[in-house]
Amino acid sequence: MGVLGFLADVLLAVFVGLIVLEVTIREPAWSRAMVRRAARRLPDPMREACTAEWLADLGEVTGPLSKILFVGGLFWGASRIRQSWRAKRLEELNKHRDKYREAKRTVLSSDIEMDVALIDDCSKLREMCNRIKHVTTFEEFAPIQQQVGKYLHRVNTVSTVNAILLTQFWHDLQKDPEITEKLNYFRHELRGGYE
Amino acid sequence: MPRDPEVRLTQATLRVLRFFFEDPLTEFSGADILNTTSLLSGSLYPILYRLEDAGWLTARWEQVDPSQEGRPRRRFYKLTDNGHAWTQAALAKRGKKEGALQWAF
Repeated sequence: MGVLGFLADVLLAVFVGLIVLEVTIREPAWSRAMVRRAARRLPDPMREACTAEWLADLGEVTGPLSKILFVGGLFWGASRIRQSWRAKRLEELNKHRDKYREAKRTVLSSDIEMDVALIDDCSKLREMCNRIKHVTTFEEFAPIQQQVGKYLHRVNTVSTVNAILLTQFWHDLQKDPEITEKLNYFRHELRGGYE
Repeated sequence: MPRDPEVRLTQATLRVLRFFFEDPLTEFSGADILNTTSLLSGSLYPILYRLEDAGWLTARWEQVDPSQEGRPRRRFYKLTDNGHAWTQAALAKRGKKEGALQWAF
């Protein structure tokens, strides 16, 4: 039993020694590979920049053990960054969703129906645009603005809402069949009223 | 000064802020901060991300050509003006709390 135990200890020592040798000799390659692997846990928009930053910082860490700690920490850190990023994104999406619902309600609400002469409806249209301007780039309304410009000049302000969300919002809005129908109705009525 | 955005001020976050506050005009890379604060990378980078996102820190990429330097570009962080004021307030608040605890015990 004593001999077997001794042999087991020797084998273990050799095995550990080989691992240490492997880690030490091939350290730059595996540590860079591990950094890239950790960065895969990050959200897509951050991945490239964080990989570059972490690789640069890795170059300033000395010693294989420090590098192992550094790289190991990145796996944990990347997961935490992803959680924070997702929480913030979710918050933005919730705000976006609320605005979308509000805008949809506005567009579909009966009090802005174009059932009277356009000149009398401009205030209603302006009200609708005023509400929607917070969530759209307003491009879709450019022809309408040109036609009733003097009534709508005040609503042509740049929205401060994130441009990506705006684009997404407008994309979603246009795909909504009820909205599309209503917008077509507006366009038709406006053209009919002025042309 | 605008109101500070809500950032969870853990011990580790305060260590990072204190590090920047001691030399507010200098820019530091993640490696500089790791070496001085002895934080682990897994703690530091999420903190830097949150602080930058909340406007306490500003960051910029090193102006070098990676192919010429033979290494990737580093990213440098420093306190913003607001971040400096918020940090001062946070550290003062923390100091008061610590003082109160010392007095109580």
